[in-house]
Amino acid sequence: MPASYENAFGDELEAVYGRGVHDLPGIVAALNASGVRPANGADWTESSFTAELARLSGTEN
Amino acid sequence: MNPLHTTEGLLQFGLRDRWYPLCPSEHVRPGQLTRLDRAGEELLLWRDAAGVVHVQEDRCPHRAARLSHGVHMGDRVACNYHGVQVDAEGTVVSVPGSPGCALEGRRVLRTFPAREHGGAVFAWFGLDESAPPAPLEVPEPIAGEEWAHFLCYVEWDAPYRYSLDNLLDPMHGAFLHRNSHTMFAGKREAVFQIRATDKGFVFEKTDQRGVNFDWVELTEGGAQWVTLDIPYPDTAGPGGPFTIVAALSAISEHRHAGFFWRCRKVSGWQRDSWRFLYRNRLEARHFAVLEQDREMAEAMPADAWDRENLYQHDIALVRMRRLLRAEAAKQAARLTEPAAPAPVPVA
Repeated sequence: MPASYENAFGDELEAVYGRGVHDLPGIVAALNASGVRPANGADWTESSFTAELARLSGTEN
Repeated sequence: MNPLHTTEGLLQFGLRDRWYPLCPSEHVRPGQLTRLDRAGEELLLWRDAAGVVHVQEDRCPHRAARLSHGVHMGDRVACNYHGVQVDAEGTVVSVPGSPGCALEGRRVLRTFPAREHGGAVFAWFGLDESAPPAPLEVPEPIAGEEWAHFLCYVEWDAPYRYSLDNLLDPMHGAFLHRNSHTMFAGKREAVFQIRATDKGFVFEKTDQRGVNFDWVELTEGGAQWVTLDIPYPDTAGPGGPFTIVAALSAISEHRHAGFFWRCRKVSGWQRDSWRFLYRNRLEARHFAVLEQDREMAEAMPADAWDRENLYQHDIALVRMRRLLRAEAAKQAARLTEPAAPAPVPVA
């Protein structure tokens, strides 16, 4: 996955968080209202969102 | 006189009977010999075949050649000058040029107890080298399961004491870092108090907490730690404040290594979120703030401590310096006291 995607995801996440939205359902809804989608283009779900964070966090590295 | 036997020398290079972080763990690579100057000592670091790190004086017990210029032999190090082999305990296990010589079997290489924690190598520098080390007590934000952390390692061209001053001076956050992403809020005037703890003290604002860099804790014991919180803006996502645990080691009188564990009490997906945002963008912002501190510390005059006019915000510095100086004087006295006379046999 190109870094540009990670940057776009980071931008959107910071924007959502910056509006004070820190709960999982709220974040997923806000991300779905944005242009950023997971690699398969589907809507975010709580499980796809948390799985993506786990991947991007590098925990498994 | 050995500067480490004087009060001033101990203040410049660091007190004894302390654990000091030496470097990030990844700086000591398997199969390699790593040379470091820390806390007034010339050190050799290496990992044995099991990956256990060893810290010893970088000085062959034969002719003082640099062991770091030698050969890593798995469970021992061979000097490249005359082939003398020394093991992890500091015992000479072989003198190939003169087998059976008196040096063989003697434990003569200074060896410092070593540990790894939080991604860093630590060593114990004891006042009495034959005494066992104190336990290495690592602060909760580094050791705790509920926390996530990243180690930021830096080397600055400034005495470690300037960096320590900087950490014990919360008021500079509202000025030097006023345009940062974390320290833009809160009052520019503050009243501070000092609260003693079991192993040090907390220096805190009396009328503001959780807004800027509002408190700092110094822990003195088997190691010196400085802990502080800085509130995060909403953009950092859910979780607690940004916590910094810092420890410093002198490289020379004019240079030091800084270890800043950047910690947050987060778990589950919130932990993953912080780790992602940290790597993707927060790290760069935190580093930019740290660079402001570096520029200030490196530009300080050499006689900064000699010509100051301190005020109420500086009472933590005064307390810390008094603690360090008193302990340094005590250690210097112990290191230079004449050996007790042999008891006179009673006829």
